[in-house]
Amino acid sequence: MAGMSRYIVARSIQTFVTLLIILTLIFIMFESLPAKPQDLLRTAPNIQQSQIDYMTSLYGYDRPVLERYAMYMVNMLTFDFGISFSRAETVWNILEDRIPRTMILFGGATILAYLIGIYLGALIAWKRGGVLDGSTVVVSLVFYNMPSFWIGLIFLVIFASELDWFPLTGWYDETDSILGLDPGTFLFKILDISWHMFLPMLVLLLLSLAGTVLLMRTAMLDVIGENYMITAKAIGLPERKVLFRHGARNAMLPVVTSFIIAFVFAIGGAVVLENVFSFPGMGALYIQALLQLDFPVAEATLYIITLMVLLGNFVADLLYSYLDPRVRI
Amino acid sequence: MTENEERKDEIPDSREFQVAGQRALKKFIRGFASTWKLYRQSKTGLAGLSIVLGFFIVAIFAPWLAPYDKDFRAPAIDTFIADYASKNLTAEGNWTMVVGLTSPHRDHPLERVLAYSEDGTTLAYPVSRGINELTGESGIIVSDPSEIQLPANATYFSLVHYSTSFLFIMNTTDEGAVLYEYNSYQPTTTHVAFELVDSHNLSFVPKYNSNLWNGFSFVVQSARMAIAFADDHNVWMLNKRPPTVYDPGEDAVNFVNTLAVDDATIIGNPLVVDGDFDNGNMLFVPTDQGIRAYFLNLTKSTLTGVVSDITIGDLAWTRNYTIEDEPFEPVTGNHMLVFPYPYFPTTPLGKEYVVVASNAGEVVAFDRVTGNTSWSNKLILTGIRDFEITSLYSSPDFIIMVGKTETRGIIAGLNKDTGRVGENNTMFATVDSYLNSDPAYVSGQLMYVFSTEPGDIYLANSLLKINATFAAPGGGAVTPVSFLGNIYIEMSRGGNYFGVVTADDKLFMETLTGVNIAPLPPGSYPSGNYYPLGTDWEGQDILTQVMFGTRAELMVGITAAFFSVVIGTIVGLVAGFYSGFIDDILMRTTDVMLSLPYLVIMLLFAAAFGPSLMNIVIIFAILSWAGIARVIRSVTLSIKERAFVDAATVSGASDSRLIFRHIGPNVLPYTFLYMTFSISGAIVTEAILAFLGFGDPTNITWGMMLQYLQISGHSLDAPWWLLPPGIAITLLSLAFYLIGRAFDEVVNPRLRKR
Repeated sequence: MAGMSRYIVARSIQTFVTLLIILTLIFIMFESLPAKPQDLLRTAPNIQQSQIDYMTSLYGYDRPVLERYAMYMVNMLTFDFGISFSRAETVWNILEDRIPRTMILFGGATILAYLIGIYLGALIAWKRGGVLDGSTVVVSLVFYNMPSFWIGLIFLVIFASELDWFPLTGWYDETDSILGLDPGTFLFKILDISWHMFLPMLVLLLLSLAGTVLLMRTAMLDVIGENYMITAKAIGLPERKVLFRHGARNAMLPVVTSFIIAFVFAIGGAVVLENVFSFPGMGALYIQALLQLDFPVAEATLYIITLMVLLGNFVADLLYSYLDPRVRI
Repeated sequence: MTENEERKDEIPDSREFQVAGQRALKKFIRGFASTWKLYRQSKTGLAGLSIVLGFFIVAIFAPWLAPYDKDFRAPAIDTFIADYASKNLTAEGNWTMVVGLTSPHRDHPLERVLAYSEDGTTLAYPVSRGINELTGESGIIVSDPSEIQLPANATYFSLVHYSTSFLFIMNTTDEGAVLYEYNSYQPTTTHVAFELVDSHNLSFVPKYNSNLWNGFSFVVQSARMAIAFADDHNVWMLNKRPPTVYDPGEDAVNFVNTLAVDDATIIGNPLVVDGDFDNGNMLFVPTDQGIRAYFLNLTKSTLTGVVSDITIGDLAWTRNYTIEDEPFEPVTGNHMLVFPYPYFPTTPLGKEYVVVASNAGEVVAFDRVTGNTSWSNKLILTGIRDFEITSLYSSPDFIIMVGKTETRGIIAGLNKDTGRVGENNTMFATVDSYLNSDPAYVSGQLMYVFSTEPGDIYLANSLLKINATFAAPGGGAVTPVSFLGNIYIEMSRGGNYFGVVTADDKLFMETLTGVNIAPLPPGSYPSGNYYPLGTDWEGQDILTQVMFGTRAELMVGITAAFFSVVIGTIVGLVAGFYSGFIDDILMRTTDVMLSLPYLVIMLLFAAAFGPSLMNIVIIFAILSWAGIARVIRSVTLSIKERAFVDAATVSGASDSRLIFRHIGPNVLPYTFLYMTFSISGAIVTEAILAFLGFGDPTNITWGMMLQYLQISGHSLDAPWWLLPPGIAITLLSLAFYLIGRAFDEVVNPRLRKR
């Protein structure tokens, strides 16, 4: 493919630079928070000044700003996050369990939403004007405008609380009984986790699906009117082929662009939903760290989330350039 | 128009302004009319617009449309399920107090409730435990009263359990006062019910009296009790003991003593401490020259232990009102001096002291034996700036302080050994008005009950946090609330009742254990109120909250979107117009902003800046201008190519004029378009921020309602609370989105043929 490797290199550099800028921004924002860690220490009733001084130097808050900035950048890029303020363990320890959970939840939901959404959007655009078209659009519109946590709560009430089909909280519970399986086995673990994750993933799926379907439909409608589509149909190509090979492939371009935007939006949704479903993932940790003003954990979580978003953008851009060679120039 | 441009330096006269204004107005109206014609072809657009207009009407007219006031809370009779009884008062009178009479037997069950009126008419209602006819549950049963005549104008009325029960009633006349001793409701071998047993004349009219707590005497073991009364210069003290085997008789043995204080004025309640302490029993008299402590001499037979006389002895110590040699002005009155004694008074503390408060909010303890300062403390109440201490009381766990600010009443618990208001100065509660009753401690339930001037009754737990508030039915209480006693076994949690006389001349009693059943589902309730959407856990009507919340929602949504769009438009215009370096920089920035997970960062800002609506608006504006900037830039680029721009450039227009006068107006439709989508997003974003805890607690919005739902723990069982705010958010956001879509078809003609 022409110019692909050049594009990849250019894009990688851009991503890296963006990462550095974002890290700097995060540093600046944490610096300008009105509450300093030393002030938080002072709220403890019996703390001595010598202990405050010790903690200050342990976390390096007595060094000048630039030196701290350099240390910070080096640490972040080498994934050395230090020790949490509120818990006596390293940040990485706290994070390492949670990252895969959030990634599965959020990544799985987004990917599924896109696969289904693209197909569905193309389909209803093709059959435009019918009852299916109208109703899907209305339902998508409504879901698109709903606050994510509210749908989550409603689902919890209906499916978990009233009907008792799904568990209310958590990620994995050894005391559950599934098909009489032994709790230690791998199969049990997979099934139990899936059972717990079903509701939050369903909600995330619905939310992302709403936006995707609407967008795909619009893009598809644009494309259908194009001349090459009419030509393809006139030549006598089978409908399916026209729809997907020619139509959808071109309509996917703006959809993939919006993947970037919606990916960003869905991360926010995952953060909120983790709170609602008491799902022990990164979003829940982030909110907890912010409320407790636990700086290292909050910085690290924000960094990881942003990193995930940037990588997602990067992959999306590569995909886009594969589909649309015009971009690579 | 070109004429005007050449004469730029001339100040246009008023007529030119008028013409120009008229022309602009016509142009605007024409543009508006054509836009409207296109817009109204879209059904969804009209639907969206009408919904938004509906919300605006609700927002503006909320005070008239909402069923209740903004600060309304459902009355306790709807939310607090408790056993109660209400009985008509069968006599006329100006009722001044309700007193519970308990049996002298072991568990002291409540057996009579007295309603006393100013002229002495007293109604004694027998009460017992049984099945309440109203609820079908176990509760209090009140039988018909008997009417008795007691002395009028009682200024002191107390029941004491002592070998039998006595009622002490102080009655004042012009020359002095009389202390009457009445037998209680149970006849004894020598006296019938409510028979006058003894009376004592005082040569003065007392202003102050020593506190007797819950009717128990100080020396339970020997059944010896003491009361003292004082006015400005006199103290009168009565000590009583029952007859013993060595001096058998029918009645108790009384010892009466008086003390004249001529060189000082008594400013507060005297205290008798007769605790069989090793270093003597004492009488404390607070005067304006300091506290005076006198020994009480007990003449006790070493053989039999029988006390044959009690007299007031020498002055033990006097103590000025100073804390660390700094003088202070003491709080004066009938509850200024308190002796924090333990639950079983015969257990010596080893560190006994008397406590006084100052008008500057300090409390100081003087050692009982020496008068030296044991401790002192300047009271700090977290969150209260100026307050006054009115009186001090003693309870088993704390020293209770009753005070006030300019508008509110305060009740606080002070640690007995330090005077601190709990560990972090938070062991206190404030109420809507000043207290008008002494706070009564209910030992079996670890609760305090007191009332305030308008007739509201409060229950506070042992850490001085308000558990429940009542306005007694029938117009509120007209007597200060009184803890009556327990109709079950003393130490059980149920069966404790308080009583008042209500404004509609009824005797009302209610138990202190109740169940708070808020949030209430929609419907009608005993108070006669109808809650169409139910209430939340504090008793606030949901429909009212949704209506009043519309204002904040609309304000936040529109303001946030406005700023966001303004920033985005300016950035887009500048980037599109000056292509090249500036464009590059701005677009790179936009790209970076777009690739940030904006909700996550918004949370960070919200945590940093603090919760307030203005902050949310600012944060939203800062983080969401990027998408709009992109679109405006591309529109600017395409407009730049059009002919009229070239024409303007050629005729010498400056850059800023081009941007704002020529390109700008053509970009505006897109700006408005994206503003509607932005409003839609801002509303949902604010809801999410509020839900996670970063909202503004002083301004109720729909997101905050859902946050309170989550915090209260009722998220799964109060659908009437869960659904309305969410539906409102969805509807309003959807409406703006539909307006946006319809407007989109106007602005982008390509879309119209769908």
